[in-house]
Amino acid sequence: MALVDDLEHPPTSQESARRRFLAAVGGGALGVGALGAAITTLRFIEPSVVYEEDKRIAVGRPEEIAVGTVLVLASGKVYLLRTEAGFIALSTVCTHLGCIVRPEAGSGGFACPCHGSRFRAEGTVRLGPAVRELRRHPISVEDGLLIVDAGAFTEDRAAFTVPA
Amino acid sequence: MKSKAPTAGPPLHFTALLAALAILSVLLVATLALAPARSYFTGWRRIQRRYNTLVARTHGRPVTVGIKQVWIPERGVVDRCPTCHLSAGVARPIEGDRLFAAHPVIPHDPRKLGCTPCHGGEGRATSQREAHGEVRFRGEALLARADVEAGCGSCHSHLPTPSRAAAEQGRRIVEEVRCRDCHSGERDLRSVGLRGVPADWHATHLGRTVGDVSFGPLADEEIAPVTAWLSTLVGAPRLMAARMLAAESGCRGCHRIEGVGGDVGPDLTGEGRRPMEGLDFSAVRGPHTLPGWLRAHFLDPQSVVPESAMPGLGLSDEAAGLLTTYVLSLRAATMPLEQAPPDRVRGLGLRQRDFAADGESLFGVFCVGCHGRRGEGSKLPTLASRVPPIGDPEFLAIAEDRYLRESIARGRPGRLMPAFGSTDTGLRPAEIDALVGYLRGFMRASPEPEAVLAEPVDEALGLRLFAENCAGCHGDRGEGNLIAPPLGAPDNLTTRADSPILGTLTNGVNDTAMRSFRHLDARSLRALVATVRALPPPPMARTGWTRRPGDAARGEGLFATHCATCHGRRGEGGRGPSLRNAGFLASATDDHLTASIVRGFPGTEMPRFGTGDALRARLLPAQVADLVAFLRGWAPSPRTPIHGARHAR
Amino acid sequence: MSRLLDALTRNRVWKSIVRHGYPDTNKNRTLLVFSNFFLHAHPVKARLRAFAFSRTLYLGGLSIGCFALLIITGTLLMFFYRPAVPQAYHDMKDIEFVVFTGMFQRNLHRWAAHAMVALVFAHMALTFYRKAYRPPREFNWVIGVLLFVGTVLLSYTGYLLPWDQLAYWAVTVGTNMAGATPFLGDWIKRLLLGAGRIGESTLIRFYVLHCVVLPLAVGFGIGLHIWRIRKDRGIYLPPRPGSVESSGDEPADEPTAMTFPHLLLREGVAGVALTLALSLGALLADAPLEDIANPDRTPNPAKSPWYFLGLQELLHYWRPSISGVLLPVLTLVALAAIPYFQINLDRRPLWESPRRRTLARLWAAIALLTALFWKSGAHPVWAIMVPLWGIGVVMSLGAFVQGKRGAARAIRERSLPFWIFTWFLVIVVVLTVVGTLFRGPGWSFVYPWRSGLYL
Repeated sequence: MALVDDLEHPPTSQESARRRFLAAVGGGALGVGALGAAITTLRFIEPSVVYEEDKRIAVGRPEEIAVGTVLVLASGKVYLLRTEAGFIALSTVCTHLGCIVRPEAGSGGFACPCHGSRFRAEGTVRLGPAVRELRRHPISVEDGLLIVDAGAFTEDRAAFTVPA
Repeated sequence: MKSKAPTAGPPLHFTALLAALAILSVLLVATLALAPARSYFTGWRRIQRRYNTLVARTHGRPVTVGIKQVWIPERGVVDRCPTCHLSAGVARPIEGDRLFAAHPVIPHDPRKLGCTPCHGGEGRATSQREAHGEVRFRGEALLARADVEAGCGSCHSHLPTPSRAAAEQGRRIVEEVRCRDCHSGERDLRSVGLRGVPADWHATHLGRTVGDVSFGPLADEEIAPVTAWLSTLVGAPRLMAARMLAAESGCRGCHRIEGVGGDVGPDLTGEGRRPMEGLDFSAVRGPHTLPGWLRAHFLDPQSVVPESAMPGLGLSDEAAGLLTTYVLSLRAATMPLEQAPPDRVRGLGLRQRDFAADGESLFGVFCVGCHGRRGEGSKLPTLASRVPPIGDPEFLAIAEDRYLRESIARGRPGRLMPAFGSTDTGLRPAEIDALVGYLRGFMRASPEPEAVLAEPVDEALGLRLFAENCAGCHGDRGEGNLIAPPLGAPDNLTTRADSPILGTLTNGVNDTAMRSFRHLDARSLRALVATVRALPPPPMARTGWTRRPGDAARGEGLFATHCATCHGRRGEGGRGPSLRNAGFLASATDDHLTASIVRGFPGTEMPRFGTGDALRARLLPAQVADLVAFLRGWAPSPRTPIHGARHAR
Repeated sequence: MSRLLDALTRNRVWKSIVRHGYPDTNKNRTLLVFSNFFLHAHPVKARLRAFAFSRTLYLGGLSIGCFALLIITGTLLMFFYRPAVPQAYHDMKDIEFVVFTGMFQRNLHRWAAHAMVALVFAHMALTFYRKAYRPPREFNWVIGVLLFVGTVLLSYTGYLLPWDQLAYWAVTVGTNMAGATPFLGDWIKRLLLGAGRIGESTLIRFYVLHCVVLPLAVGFGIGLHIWRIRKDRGIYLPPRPGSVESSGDEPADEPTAMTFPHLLLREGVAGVALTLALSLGALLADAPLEDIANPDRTPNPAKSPWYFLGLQELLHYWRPSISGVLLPVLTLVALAAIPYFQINLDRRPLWESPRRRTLARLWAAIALLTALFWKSGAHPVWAIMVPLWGIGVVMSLGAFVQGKRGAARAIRERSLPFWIFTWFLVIVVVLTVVGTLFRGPGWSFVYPWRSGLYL
């Protein structure tokens, strides 16, 4: 039995419409499937949970930390300052590209070893390329202890004061 | 496809290229052969062959040639040292050979502990240069022979360290009573301190009778020094000497070590294994190694790190070497507590101190570095302000116990003085009290009243001393005023006779601004007593005298004129310490403030406002009271001290 | 000897494997190339002009050679490497210290990776100057640009695997750069890191990318690249003087020669020479391995791999979203777009247009760019401005020199895109050199002959 290539014969208009429809359905379905697969794969790769230790640091009783004190926490990744206005927990992770800034001799501020940004003591930018001031960690008081959450950041620029 | 011989065009250099291929291939094979050769012809292979040759002479067992390693997974130790140091647990030692001689007898088995925990070095490496840490980044430095005891610090991080004086005294006693007559050989005391010396060892020892050798009891005051000496016997004499030196050099005043100490300088835990990265060797003469750097740094900190605030301790070469050993012994031990040696368990688990807790030892551990061995104060390099001489009798005369306690516990904000009482690992209340007690010892003992009163009276001296020391509070003629009572007899009961005046002068009056003047010599005291006795009767009756608060509004103006230059316009500090902080104001009473203003802060730039000088106007008592009232406005009132009151009673 | 060979080859088994005779006749040579899987990318005969070393410098072929070496050494290294913290670092030490020829393999892998980045870049530059992206080869140029990206990514993902300080901080800088992408930044960073910061999850991701995903992608890309060259009748050759340029078919009178042995011999020489050079490098210089990664302490200075130091130098001037994202992406897009705008193909020489007006426009543009690079960044960008002026001067010479030959003619006849591309190349080189040699602690400018090298 010989097979016949039906594309050899000109189709009826109804037949071509049917073919176009079927091709569109099939192709569309595969396209949607491919897109879905791509999105699912990306979502697959994206982590849903993160294995990171709790980085909340209990510093001590706030009233025992005097104004003017600077405490170095988390092996240098957090600087806790008590200023006249209250507590500030500065992250020493450079806002430029994530290197750890170091105290700069002389200026009292910080310098980044990677791209040379300079920050003032309270974290504002003195010299580029960084444009954003050093980020701050949220501070809270629990059971009378001052807690710095080194795993989170806050946009709150106001210094933390212990609620009465 | 028709093949057509190229008629024109460049030649294809077939033969030349073939020759190039041949030559390059030969070179390549030769080069590639070098790689396995480099891996095969190694130093350790030669050494093992040499061992086998040597051992064959004595018909000993040869080793199988290959890399030998000690692997202790639970400690993360991979040590390939036995590849060359074959006698370290792998093969029979050969006496007389430098490399194959037996390891000295130590309390540990290298096969169970590994090599690098004690000796340092790069255990994974198999070439000498890399294993001994002589190649940058390719190996951790090996501890030199002189510093090898620092390796003990990898596990023994909390060896109890008595004061050197006590240990030395103990050693002398032990020699006098001839303990070593029995304690030799089997009963050697060499490492008796490793497990910790039990507090009741003396009683236990008395209970034992060894043969017919009598053991006379030690005098009670001898037990402590002997115990101190015993605790230094850990089989590492240099390490203990280093630890004792460190414990009297005040390192922990600025540096935190295993959680205890100030935060002025860098935390030194693990400093003995710090990466070389970031160390500047440009000013280091001698070897460019971590010990070399440390030694140079101890001898002259600022020559190595120009911005360092570390005081030059005036060390001899030998002392710098000992402190280097000490720092090298800070190796940030990490191990589960159940595997840790007894001293670490006591230190970390039971939170026992690894330094002696008497006042003198504590002063050595925490204060000496900045305040000096006799509390004479110092000028730290790279810092503008001076460290106050807390051993100065005049300062101690002003400072109340509670003020000293609070300053130690809460620090001096805005100054380098850390808050030693602020964390779990800081100083404990009893320790702070011991420190305060020791500080009080710097005050001169009160002179004998009879001796003082027997002195001849020097009127001129008396008048001068009165003007300098008394008039600031009591008024020029002792008439009394806002802050101090009138002195003139007969209303003032105290001043009716010589001896009560002398008593008040030498002891001060508790809880008032009247401090002890015992730092004055007998002649001065005699003169002062006479001057006070001779004061005219006051215009107002003593019964009518009360202390009245000053006027804070007037005080504000005075502050701007007299204090703001140093303490800052809002008291935030500058040349002088910050006054505007809760900690200071809470611990300083009105009387303390008054006394400080009137009498100044000896040894620092704080002037005596009570007398004035060429540069500064004298402040009148009323003005002092106004100032105190103004300062008090920043914090309502002094509060109960965080601790100490109950110990003081 | 020949009897032995005969015995080896004249049997059914041999003939079932190799289905042609000894290549001593053109028929058998043809069959050798034609029927051999490994040689099927080659034509049986190639044009003589394509043989010339000066035409391509064999840069593409050498890149593939590097890739092959990398696959071999990389696979060997995988036998001893665990992508875990801290085992990865210890495994590196073991590879260096105890694995037989481990140090050599690692060195070879490292130096071949560096060489491949440089060769691919050089290949791209030469392709531009040779105008070899002429239609219908536009898309193959795009594939080439993508292969360059793939090469850099391969090298970069491999950089983290030793888990030392160098690796950790180079990758910190790199992922934060990706994190500066507008809108998608945080998501991309999370995707790359697998966590909030670099850790074991990042290591395993980079490992999979480095060992599986990217090699497959680049390998496939290379196949496609070669296949398209083959379909376009071999490498691009400019029309010979006197003949009309056609869309690919060479004129019948183009002289050719047999692929075997002539072309294969050349490839063999190049391949052996490359392996020899890299092996010598691997014997003489050890790949760096610093202290184990320490997230709390950034080394000073913290430098990326050298091919990123140009980018890191840019990061010193502008914010990451510009230096690290916008500029590289724009550059890549511009590179990919080159063939579609006929750039540098049929342009008239710059100095055909009225001389005075061109000069004015040129220097106005240079002044504008100078202002831009002086003011827009945190510091004036000398590394871009100085080449700009230099090239401007050389270009302007074209308006005045008269010679009909040599350099004078070359300067006069170059088009504007030629100069812009050259400027780009010089900037890349200068930025990389400055970042590599002239930057010290705190990314301050240092003179290497005074303060030594900070690598």
